[in-house]
Amino acid sequence: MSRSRLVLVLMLGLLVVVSGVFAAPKQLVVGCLEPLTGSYAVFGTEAKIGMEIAIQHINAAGGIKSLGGATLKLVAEDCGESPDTAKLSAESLISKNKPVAILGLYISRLTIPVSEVTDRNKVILVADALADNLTQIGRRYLFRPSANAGQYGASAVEFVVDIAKKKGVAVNRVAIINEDSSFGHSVAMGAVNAALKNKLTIVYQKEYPYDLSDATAIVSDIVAAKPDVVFHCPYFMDAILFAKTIREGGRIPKFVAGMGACGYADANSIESMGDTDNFYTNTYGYNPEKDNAANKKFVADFKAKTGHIPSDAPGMNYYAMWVLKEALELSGKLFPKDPLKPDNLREAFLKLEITSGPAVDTFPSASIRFNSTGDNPDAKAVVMQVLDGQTRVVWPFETAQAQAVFPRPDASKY
Amino acid sequence: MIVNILQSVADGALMGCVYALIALGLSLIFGVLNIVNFAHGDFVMLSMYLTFWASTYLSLDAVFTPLITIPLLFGLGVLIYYSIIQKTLRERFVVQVAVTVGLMTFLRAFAQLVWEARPRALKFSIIQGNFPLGPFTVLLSRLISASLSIVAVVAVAMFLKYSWLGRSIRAASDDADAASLMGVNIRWTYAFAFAMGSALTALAGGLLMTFQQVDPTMGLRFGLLSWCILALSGLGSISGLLISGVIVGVAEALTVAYWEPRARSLIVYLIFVVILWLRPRGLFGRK
Repeated sequence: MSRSRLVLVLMLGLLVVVSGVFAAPKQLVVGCLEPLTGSYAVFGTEAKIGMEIAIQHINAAGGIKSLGGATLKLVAEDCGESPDTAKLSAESLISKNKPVAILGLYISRLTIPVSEVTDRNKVILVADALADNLTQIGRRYLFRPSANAGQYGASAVEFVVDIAKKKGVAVNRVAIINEDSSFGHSVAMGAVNAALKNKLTIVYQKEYPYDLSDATAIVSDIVAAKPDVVFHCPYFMDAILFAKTIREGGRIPKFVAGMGACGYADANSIESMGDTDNFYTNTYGYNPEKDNAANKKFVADFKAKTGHIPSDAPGMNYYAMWVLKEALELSGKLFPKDPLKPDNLREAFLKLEITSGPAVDTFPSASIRFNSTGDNPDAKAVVMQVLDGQTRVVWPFETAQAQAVFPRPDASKY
Repeated sequence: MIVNILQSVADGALMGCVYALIALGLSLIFGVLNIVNFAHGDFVMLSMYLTFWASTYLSLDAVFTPLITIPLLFGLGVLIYYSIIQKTLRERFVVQVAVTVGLMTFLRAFAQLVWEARPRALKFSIIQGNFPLGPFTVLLSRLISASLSIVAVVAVAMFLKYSWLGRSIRAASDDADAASLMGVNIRWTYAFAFAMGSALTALAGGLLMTFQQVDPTMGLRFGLLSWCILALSGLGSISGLLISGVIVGVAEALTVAYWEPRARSLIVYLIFVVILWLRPRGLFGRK
């Protein structure tokens, strides 16, 4: 080898070493699949903001340390409002961007078909949809940190039983109504089981399509059945319709407890309904009042962007992104040679035991782990009530930030 | 039980009167221009948003906002007629469908862009309230909305029957060429009919917003309901429209209350199909 060639080889070797040392940390793509247009866009757009803030916070904190400080980049795709558009958008997102994981969907009936696409492509799906059966259909790469729909329904009933006992109010007869999606059905079943367990009499039960244009007929029927408490799982527009119709009719039950009822207690519903929204409660898979620095930082950043506190969808996706971060960290440690291999990342998810850090700081209960079906057995819901135009956590009592108003002061005799 | 059923019938009948008002606009447009306006329900949606806007920024109660939204929707109707609809009148049916479906998609996307996807509602209306009537409870907002709808439908009927412009519209509807020979300005008459059909949705939108919410996707439902009412009634009978609106409203309310809320569309469209099958010109149609 001539001298000049030797110098060239040495220089090239040096270049390789230097580029290795100074290489920018890797950027990992995370997919956001949410309904950004159509009827459900109200949830999807806010869920996306929750993910964006989480990624800002994760990257600002040094990214994924076990992967050399790799940062996360969010690529969003609109999943629309039908299973077909959702599947197409999932295929497109995966083939174009090769994400390490996808977060979102929010709507259960869109999540089920999309989970078939993600499973086929071996992409982790961290779902914010809550229908119970989502984790019972054998998907290997699907994980759900939050409480499921049945737990939402059961929590609403347990809250009413607890608060009625505390306040010495008799609650025996209940009505259970829900919009007819798989989510609404699962929530209602959770409520029915909890009501029967607590020896409550279900005097009225009905499922209805969320795009109902007039709630008068159902409200009249509820009044005729004379329940003490109405448990209701609506979407957004139907919550407004029912609340307005109940108020205008003037025959108001002792209490209306929302369950998975974002339309009753989100900032947007308070803005749309004003006083009419007072005293409505809802079960949440995220607690915006949890008192720690990480949660306060998220709430402040979200409020700066939107003008109001985060509701379920952004909250669930904020901690879901941190759960993904923890799984990537663990995968980097357990499988340093190939941490992003789908089966390795899945293994990391199954081995997670998160008890500290922003994921748990923003989570309603004290730990996050996953069983073999992808559910978190430690997940819990909190109950929030609209009090003077603000939503406050009122149950479980040990984490409550305000006293629940029960029964409704404007309740009337039937 | 009987009281509950009668309560549902009354609730449905009151809602049906508002449906009839919406369908009247569609009937004018279809009857005169012979164009299938798939965007009609989205005009209702747009009117509801304009009501929300007018009420929020001008502190007007929803029930008074038609004073502002009717001229706005009339102007929009004229604009859309001359810019889009007129060009399609002599085109094939499929072109007309494509244009109005395009307009429907445009209005929906426009609403989502301007008002975002979340539903909007007004916190209060002076016509909200209730009063007992024997064993029944009457919701004031529904009663006043139904009454104003009936007044509007009757006023339009009188206008079509007794005013020169109304007679021109009817003449253009019957035979455009003969009306033209009699001195009727067909282009202006068509524009007026389209604008009037659009303006009627402004009144319906204002009334609906006294007790409902609006979101960008709800136009399709009102559009399809209007077609069912129009098919049930047939062309040319305004009282028939009112009766058909009430039939659809009552059928919907009874289905929701006593059978299955998810079947409300099934029942409404079943009526639609049966009427098309047994009496294609509708129950009250004159041609």
